[in-house]
Parts: sequence; C-alpha cells; structure tokens
Amino acid sequence: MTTGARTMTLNMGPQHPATHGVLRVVLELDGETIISATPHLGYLHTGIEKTAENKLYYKVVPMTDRMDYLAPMSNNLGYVLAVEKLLGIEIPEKVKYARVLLTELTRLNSHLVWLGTHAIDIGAMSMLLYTFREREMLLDVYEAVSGQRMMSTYFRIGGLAYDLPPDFDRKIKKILRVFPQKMKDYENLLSSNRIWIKRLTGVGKLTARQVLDLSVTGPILRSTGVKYDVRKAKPYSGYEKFDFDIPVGENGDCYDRYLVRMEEMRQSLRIMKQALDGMPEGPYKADVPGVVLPPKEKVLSEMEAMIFHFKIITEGFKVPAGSYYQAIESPKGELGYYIVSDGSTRPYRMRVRPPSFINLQTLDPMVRGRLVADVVTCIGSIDIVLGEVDR
Amino acid sequence: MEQAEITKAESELLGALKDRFGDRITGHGKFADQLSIFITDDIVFDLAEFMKEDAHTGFELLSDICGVDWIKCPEMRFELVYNFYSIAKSLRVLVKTTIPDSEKPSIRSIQPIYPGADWLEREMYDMLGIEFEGHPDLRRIITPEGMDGWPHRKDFPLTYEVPQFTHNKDKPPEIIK
Repeated sequence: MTTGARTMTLNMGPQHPATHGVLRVVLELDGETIISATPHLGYLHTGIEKTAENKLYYKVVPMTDRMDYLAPMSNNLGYVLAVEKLLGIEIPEKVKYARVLLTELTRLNSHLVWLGTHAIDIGAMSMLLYTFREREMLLDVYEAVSGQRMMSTYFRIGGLAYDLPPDFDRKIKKILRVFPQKMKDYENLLSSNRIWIKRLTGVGKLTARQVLDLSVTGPILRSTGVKYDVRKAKPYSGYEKFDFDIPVGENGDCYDRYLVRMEEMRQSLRIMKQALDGMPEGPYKADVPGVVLPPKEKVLSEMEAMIFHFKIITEGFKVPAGSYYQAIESPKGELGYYIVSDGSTRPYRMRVRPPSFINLQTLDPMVRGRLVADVVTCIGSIDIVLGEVDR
Repeated sequence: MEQAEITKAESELLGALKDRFGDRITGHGKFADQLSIFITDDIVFDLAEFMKEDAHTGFELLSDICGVDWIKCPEMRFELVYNFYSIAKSLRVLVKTTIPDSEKPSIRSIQPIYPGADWLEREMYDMLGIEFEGHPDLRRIITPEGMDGWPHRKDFPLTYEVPQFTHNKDKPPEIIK
C-alpha cells in the first residue's frame, strides 16, 4: 500500500440477495465510506414498450402485469384507464369501486413484500415469514377473482374480466378483520425495536428539494413532508368519493419512509372498507359494442354478439388518434402510461413512467458518505422492483 | 380530436409563455383534462428553466420524458414529450417538440435544471439515439454498452438479434419482419 488517497471499487450484484432482484451497484469506497454508488441496470430488460407497439390494444394488458409484478392490478389500471380515456367510454360504477378496492389490496400486497424484505435485509428474519403469511390471504383474493395468484390480468379495457365471485365479500371482510391486528404485531416487533431504529433513523436522509429535483414520487417524496398523492391531486377511477388521509413524514430518512408506508397500509384498509360497503349493483363491464366483449351467454345465443366477439378477438378495435398521459398512484409512486394512438388497432407508442426506475436515482445521494451496510438499508427503503426498472 | 375548454390557470401559463418566447411557442391543444404545448426545439433549455424558476409557472416536478418516432415524416421525425407537473396548482402540462431526422439527432439537455432528467434522457438516448447536448454522462442505461442500433426506433425490427459472436458478424441472421 502506497501513501496517498486510494479508493476501492466494490461490485454488488447482480446476484446479491439484498438487491431485490438483478440490480448491480458499483460502489466506490474509501475505506468503508462510500464515495459514490452507480447502479447498472438492464438485466431484466424485455422491451415491453416496444412489444406493445405490435400488439392489439387488449393484448397489451397481460404484459403490464409483468412490469411491477408485486402490484399487477395497479399496472393494469394505469393502462386500461389511459386507453379508456382515448376511447372516451364510460365505466359502470361497480367496476370503479371494484377497481379501487383491488388496487388498494394490491398496495397492501406490495407493501407487505417491501416490509418483509426490508426487514430481512436489516436482519429481522421473522418479519418475512409473518408478512408472507398475511400475503397469502391477499393472493387468495387474487385467485378468487381472476384465477391467478400473481399475474392476475383482471382489469380489461371497459371493465373487468369476470364478475366478482360470490364469496368475495367474505374474503375481503376477513382481511379487514384480521389485518389491523397483524399490523399491530408488526409494529410491536419493529417500531420500538432498538436495532431497527438505529439502522433506519437518519439513514438515507433526503430533503424535499433534493427529492423533487430528482423527479421522485411516492412514499419517498411523502416522507420528506410533501403532500403529493395522485389519488388526491388528480383523482381517477372515482377516488374522489373516498375518505382517506395522506400520511407524510418529516425527516425524509428510512425510518420515516417506514412509518409512511405503514400508515398507508392502514389508509388502504379504510378505502377497502368504504369500497366494499358502497359497492353498487350493476354490470361488470361497459356496454360498448365493438370495443368491449359481449357477455358470454349472449355470444352463445345471439348472432350479433357473436360477430362482435369474433371481430374484437381477431382484428381488435380502433382507438381514435391522439395521445394521453394517465397517472395513477401505484404503491411505489406515480405510475404513468403515455399512449400515442394513430387511429389503428395497435398503440403507436406506449411509454411507461416507471416509478421504480426514477426512484432508484435517489440511491446515490442517499448513500454518499455512509457505510456499506447502509446501502442495503437504502435499497430496501426505496422499494424497487427490477421488472419495472428495466421493463 | 375535440378541443376541451382551457382553464384559467392554463391560460395564464400560456400567456406567460407567449410573452417570454413569442412565436417559438407554435401552438397548443387540449384533450380531456390535459394541455399540450408545442414548441420549437431550440428553446427547450430556456423553457425548462422558465417552467421551474418563474413565479407564474413553478413546475417543480418533471414527471417524464418520452420520445416518439414518427418515421413517416423525416423533417419532424423525433417527437419529445416533456411532462411537467405543478404540485401547488395540481396542473400537468405536456410540452412537445420535434427534431428532424439526421445522422445524429440532438437537442439540449435539461439535466442541469431538472437533475431527475439524467436517467430519463439517458433512456431516450439508449432507446431512440437522440443526443442530449450538455448531459454530463450520456451512456446507454438499459441495453448493454456497445450495442448496435436504437431499439425504439420504428425501423428497428422486432425480432432482430444483434450478432453476439464474431463468427457470424459478416452474415447476420435473417431479419423477420
């Protein structure tokens, strides 16, 4: 070792258990202090945006699940809302309520995985087992409504894939009953746990100004005290009818982000309860011939319905030329779908504003000047899904 | 596409922009609740500065940058859509500009004003091959370094695989369109 400053380059990932997938971070170290952290992306790049340009509008929906695979319904919702806006079709009230209920369920799902993996990164092994136990209940609902536990593809352009199942109420009521108690258990384990507090407080601290400059949204922005939530700012799918609060933090560190997400889960339960209580009766999809598939029993008995069914499946439907950017509040932040239509049956361009991708930019400012162990905390706290980062 | 009515906040913004930039604001349109403003490509940097710093505007969040390849009109082939959002006014504005087709299509980077544009511009460079002048670190971000071609351009075939090995460099696999 010669005299003078020397730095060491440490490669972390892509196969590293604490990077939540295939994220590779190249760390520049001075001793154990981090000088800079450079994420290298693209290991999961599948070209979903490009593939979407070559698919009929309704065939894009299953691909949106594969981006943020922990929040499939949020991704479905963003896409179908954007296309519905371009088509200018009205959605039945029941569908709106069901969509709100299920996207809030998705938020619980995503936050549970975040909590479990974040805690296991810090060393709290048991949290992962508890959160995945509760996640089973949520996945059961997914399975009941769509037949799939993870890639649900339940929302369709103009409505839902199927009607809600008969025991849907019972399943949701069970979640509403059981979940608050489990949340208390989590908080008993973590909120006042000395190790948890020491590893999180003051780590990855950002100011509101820094976060806004980096275009970051979601719980990271709210933990710095900025009250921005798309559900309140630009309500979609009938969110203006629901009564809920937006939790905000003060310090913008990992501990505040933890508190914000925990409170968000409580608010999600509140919205779910309102949606379940206020769910109106009605059809589960809009009646728009030529765009939305007719009900199956009509297809089997009426000539016209059968022709529409056949035409939609084989040649799709035309969407008026134009472009629209639809933002929704996904569990990770503002998820946007910008769809450009040239009047044909396929999207001319589909751009996804991926919250994980943009939020990952905060990793470098968060970890500068801190120790290697804090990188793991910060990655967990940003809450990324690599499927969405790389698309 | 039918034109929706322009709100007060939006007309104030349009007025402020027209005062500052004159005829380089080439037009505007509104679809549903979304205002689009069309500009020439030389004022992108100044406009971004104006959008962020000026008291009339105050768009603190650059939500997104999206590039669209309009291959059929070479004189305005690449459309860039800058998506600004103001939290205080809860107003979203899409600013659209076009770049003509050339060997090296380029536009000024707005990264010095909105640091969050860093990765967004890198992604657009990676996918569409648009050079952002003044970007501090313009490298490919998602596809591997040294890759040939720009995947989101419309003339990049869907099923084409870039030859990975030296032995078939001279005879690349057939393109299936």
